[in-house]
Amino acid sequence: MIQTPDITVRNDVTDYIPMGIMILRDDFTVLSWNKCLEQWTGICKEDIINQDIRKHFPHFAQPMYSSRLTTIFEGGPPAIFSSQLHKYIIPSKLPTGELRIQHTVVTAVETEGDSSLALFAVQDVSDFSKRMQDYFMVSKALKQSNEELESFTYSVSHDLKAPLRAINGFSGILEKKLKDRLNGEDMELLKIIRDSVDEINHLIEDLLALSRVGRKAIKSVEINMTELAEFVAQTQSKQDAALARVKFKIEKLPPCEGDPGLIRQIYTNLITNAVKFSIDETEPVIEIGSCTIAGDTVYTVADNGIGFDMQYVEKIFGVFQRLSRAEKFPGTGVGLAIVKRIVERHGGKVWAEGEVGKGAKIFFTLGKQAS
Amino acid sequence: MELTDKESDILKELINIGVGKAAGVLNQITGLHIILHVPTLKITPMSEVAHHPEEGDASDLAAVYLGFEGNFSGKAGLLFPTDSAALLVSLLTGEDSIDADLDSLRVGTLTEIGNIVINGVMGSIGNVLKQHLIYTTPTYLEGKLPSLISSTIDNEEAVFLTAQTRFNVKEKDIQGEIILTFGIGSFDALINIINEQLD
Repeated sequence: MIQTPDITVRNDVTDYIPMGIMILRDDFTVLSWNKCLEQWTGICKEDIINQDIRKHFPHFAQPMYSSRLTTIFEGGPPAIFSSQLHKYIIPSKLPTGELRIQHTVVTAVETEGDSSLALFAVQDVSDFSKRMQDYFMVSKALKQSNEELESFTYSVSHDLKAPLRAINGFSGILEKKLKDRLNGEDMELLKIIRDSVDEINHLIEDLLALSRVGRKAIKSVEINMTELAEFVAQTQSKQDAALARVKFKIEKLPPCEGDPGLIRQIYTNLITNAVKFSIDETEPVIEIGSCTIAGDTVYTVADNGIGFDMQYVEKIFGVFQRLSRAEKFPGTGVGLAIVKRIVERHGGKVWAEGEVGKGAKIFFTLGKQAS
Repeated sequence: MELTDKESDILKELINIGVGKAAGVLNQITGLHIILHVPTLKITPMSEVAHHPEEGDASDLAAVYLGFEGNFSGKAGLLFPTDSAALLVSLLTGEDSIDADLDSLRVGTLTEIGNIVINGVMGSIGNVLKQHLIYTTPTYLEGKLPSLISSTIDNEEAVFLTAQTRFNVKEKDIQGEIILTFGIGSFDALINIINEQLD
């Protein structure tokens, strides 16, 4: 009962608290046992108050509990009994028959005597604990199946290369041997075989590259993004004379933290794409910049090329997804999937905006930004 | 604040007794053989800590703190880099870690580990020096070193004591720091009590 000058509260206030509340004396006698504990355990106050807790719950005699409670009775710091290390401190069954998982804080309450009382506040965390366990199991299974899929992709891609080499090699030999005897149509058929093999080879190379991006350990360092973007643009221009027509506009970009090889791959793939889809414009322009959205630094690569219809935006970053005709714009449709995977491995996000005939703009963030 | 070698040795010994006791409790709970060492001890005035945050201040830390009040007052904490904290919890619970983040369940476990270590240290200081202290409930904090320090005590005249702490579990070494921050005059009061009691 609580008394203040004006108000008297009937009953035990701890009965109104939706947690298990118990008070122990230094000889382990139960002095208080609230309604919540009555409901959980089925033990009434009358049957436990003034009795030794160890009669009902013998584990309180174990040193792992008794030694820490002794410190509390001496007025020491509060003790926590967490749900992972102890599961429960007051064993009690849920309606499902499983034991209630608990997180308990025990605090010393000073008395006028030499020793303190131990006040137990027991929280039922069963529901939360079960959901976390389910989440762990699902995450573990998902991680495992992703790893299996990754390794399957890698080995299949790798194993496919040997027969492809054979097809390519032998059709070359056939072509040489039968050159004088084959007519134009036969030669055309042989060429189709060899072109198709080349195409499959490119697909496999890209799949292997995608797989490697997922397996490579990330070594994070601070990166000067302006220098990196300029380097990639210059390298590509040197490799392909046709790029002389493309005007690159590169802004000063904020630095970032990431794996330099992988971030370079992002710019390489994005610039290659931007060039591919804008090279036929009268004045192709590729703009590399950055902006801040909701406090995050966002890097951008934009072109004034053929663009795309926003209703297909979800498909852009998928493996082998292409929004344009292969004959006009060669490629396997893996480049942006690689970009997505690199960005995600850095804890970032990637998205695109575009309009048919007006160009496309790719946005990406990287989890950590250099200060 | 300059300490004599003897004062510094006694403080280190008090902390070592405390972590030794904490290791015993952790062994009882987990059934594992856990060894705890405190190889170094450093005392820094808060003004220096605030203006020259230690190296590694950019990494995320997980900390368990509790406050104490009596003849000397302040806060006691145990700090780990977040990924080391997650590894320690996984080793002690035997549950596979899915990622390096700490979810609420693992935060509860880390709070208990911190609670046991800090209680060991504060218990040893309180018992040996016969001091009665009043404590707050341990709380869990996450953040970078400067913000963690400023959230524990914001007075530049405070004193900051760090003890490097090594947990050896299942042949793995996990390093953390025990940090004690003392309010104005409290560290002097502690040293005076050490000198009075142990002379």
